[in-house]
Amino acid sequence: MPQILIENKRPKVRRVLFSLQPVTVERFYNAVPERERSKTVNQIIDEYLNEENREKAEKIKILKKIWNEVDVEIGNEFENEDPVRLQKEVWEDVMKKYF
Amino acid sequence: MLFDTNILYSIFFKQNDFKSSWELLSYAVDFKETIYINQFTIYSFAMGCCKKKQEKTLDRFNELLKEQIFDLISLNNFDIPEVFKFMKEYDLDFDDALHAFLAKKHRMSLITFDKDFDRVNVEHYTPREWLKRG
Repeated sequence: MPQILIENKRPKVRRVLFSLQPVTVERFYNAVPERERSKTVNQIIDEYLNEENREKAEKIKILKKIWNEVDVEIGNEFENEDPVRLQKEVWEDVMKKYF
Repeated sequence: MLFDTNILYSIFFKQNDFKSSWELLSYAVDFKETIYINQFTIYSFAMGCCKKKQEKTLDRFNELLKEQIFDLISLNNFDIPEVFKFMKEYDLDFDDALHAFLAKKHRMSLITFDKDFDRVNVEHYTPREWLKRG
């Protein structure tokens, strides 16, 4: 496995490393021209992490949007109801209807 | 982690300790913990939304599914008899037995408010308990 990757101390990069199979890393490394290797490998890892962060940011944005909708539209309507009770009631309804 | 249906109600209907449920949801996204739900949870949740006349909630749930915030977990032909065994052994309804079986089979933490799982040999937590666990 390329030494430069192993020596990288950033926790997120270590996670990327260990999530890749050694063979994949090797193939990936060898495909990069020799004089650019260290730089390019790091750049590609950074790009990978940026992409991951972008996806995460998008998901968090959606979560916030949904939370705002729930907070405004649902309000306190169901606050005194028990979600476990509701879950059981749904199944009781199904059982009554079909069995 | 595997979400029981009551956690979805907690999230979308602001029930029980919904703040912890939302916190756990955000935590999972932030730290890339996969949240699994099973197909029956979707049916059950959809029926609950209709019962409460909250069809818009299904659109919100769909948005989270599309964003892959939840991942689906399904049963195979050999799983069903095992679920029935759980029903008998622990005196559970089908829904609960299904969650207990899947959590055990896939070695996942079951996130639920349901106290019925206290008598089942399966790792389970409320959202608050899971968050406190660190």
